[in-house]
Amino acid sequence: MKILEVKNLVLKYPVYTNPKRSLKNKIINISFAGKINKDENTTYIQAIDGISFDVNYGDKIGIIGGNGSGKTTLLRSIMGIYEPISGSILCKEKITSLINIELGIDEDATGYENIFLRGLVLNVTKKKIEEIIPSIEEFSELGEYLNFPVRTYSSGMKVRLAFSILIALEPKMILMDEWLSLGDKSFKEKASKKLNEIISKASCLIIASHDYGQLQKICNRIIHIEKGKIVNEIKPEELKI
Amino acid sequence: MTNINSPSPFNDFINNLKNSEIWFRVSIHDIKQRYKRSTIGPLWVTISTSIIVFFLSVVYSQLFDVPLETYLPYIAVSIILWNLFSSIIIESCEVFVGSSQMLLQLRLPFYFYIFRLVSRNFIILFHNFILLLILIFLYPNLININYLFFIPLSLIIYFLTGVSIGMMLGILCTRYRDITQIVINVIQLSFFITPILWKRDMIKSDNQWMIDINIFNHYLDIFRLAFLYQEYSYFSLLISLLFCLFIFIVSFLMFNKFKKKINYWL
Repeated sequence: MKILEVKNLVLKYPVYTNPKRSLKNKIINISFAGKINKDENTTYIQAIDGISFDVNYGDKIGIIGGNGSGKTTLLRSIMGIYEPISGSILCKEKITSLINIELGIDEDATGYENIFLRGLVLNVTKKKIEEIIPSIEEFSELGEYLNFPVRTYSSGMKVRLAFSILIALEPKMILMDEWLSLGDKSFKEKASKKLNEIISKASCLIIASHDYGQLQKICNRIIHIEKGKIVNEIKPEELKI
Repeated sequence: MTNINSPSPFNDFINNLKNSEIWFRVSIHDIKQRYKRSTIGPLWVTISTSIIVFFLSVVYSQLFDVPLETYLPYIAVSIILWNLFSSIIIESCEVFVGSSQMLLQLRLPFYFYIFRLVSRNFIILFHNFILLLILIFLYPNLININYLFFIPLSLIIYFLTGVSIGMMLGILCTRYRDITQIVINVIQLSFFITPILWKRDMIKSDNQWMIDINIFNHYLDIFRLAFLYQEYSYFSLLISLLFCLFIFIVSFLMFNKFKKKINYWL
């Protein structure tokens, strides 16, 4: 059964060099009829050029491709951040992004405050947050530190907090840009195990990565994109590590 | 299957209203953060406004040769309102640019960011109201009970206008980054050409048109006149209502036109 359908997705980034951003130059251009700035049309980068694919329940899709091939842009458009020029994306479930898990962590707020803040912007009810707090406490192993401002945390501890919050929410449809790098060795193993568990329970995962070994372990489909187009779709076993 | 593309501008607005708890609580958090490590916290807002109002009114009442007991409350109300207007307008320029990280990672209504900004400034306004309460206590005649109704009405007009200005400037300043500088200049200039430090009756009646064409004056008056035991200006109220409606529609049309592009401009 289909959970996500991407159809003929086309997406262009306008590139604004600094002169393009300035109102002054716009006015000068009007008054001198475009003589000063010869390049009149805005430059566009064709980030995604007609991509279509379907995702079924249980699919774990790895997206590979060189730098600038459009992987992150594709993920962002699936999240609904960039609206496509044409084409459509249809989806059935709430999408959770694990692209930048530390986003929205407020340095001056305490660990607990951050849990509530994070829940707020993810539109999770306060009741639900209160329910998951014990599991966050347990998993992050931060103990007393949760009462301290995040500014006093080490970077590894911040990751622990952010990761524990997201995992406690048990996301169903997950987007990731590269496998997460998660703190120290002991937490890394525990977190990877947990993440694998969440992924196996999730209804779908889309991960963009260069780590073919990792992709082979978790994915059942690999989509190769270059220059914003799908080159081909292969089985994970066919990846040359 | 639902389309992933962000909802229509109308739904964006409605969704944001439905989830009012989000922007309201985030804006409270913003204020708490700002005064986190100070002992008396947001009361600093009240104290600093009071200091400014006190010294300005003492000096200027001498300068203009007006009695302090009428001039002090006038300055207090005017400065408090002006702080609200100017900080909403100036912060509007950064409303999307400053939240670019959130905009590129989360799917919240665009109006969330605007409401958060306006609501944050209203919390500051309410802290400043403590000063007004002290003044009412000192000068019981200050507030005109008959006009009391206009105070909440003005606040609603301010809030709606703030939301509209936020959306308009937010979009414009995201696309053209130097508009921020223009806005700051306009605000600085407006402070001097609007009756804030000086009063309408201090200038010649021939030149009063300069005040009448100033929209800031009408916006100040709809609140201020209820306070200072003067004749209420229904004309100002009408102008403010019309302006509020007009700018809301314009900002909404702008949002409708550029909604898709905001994230690309960041």
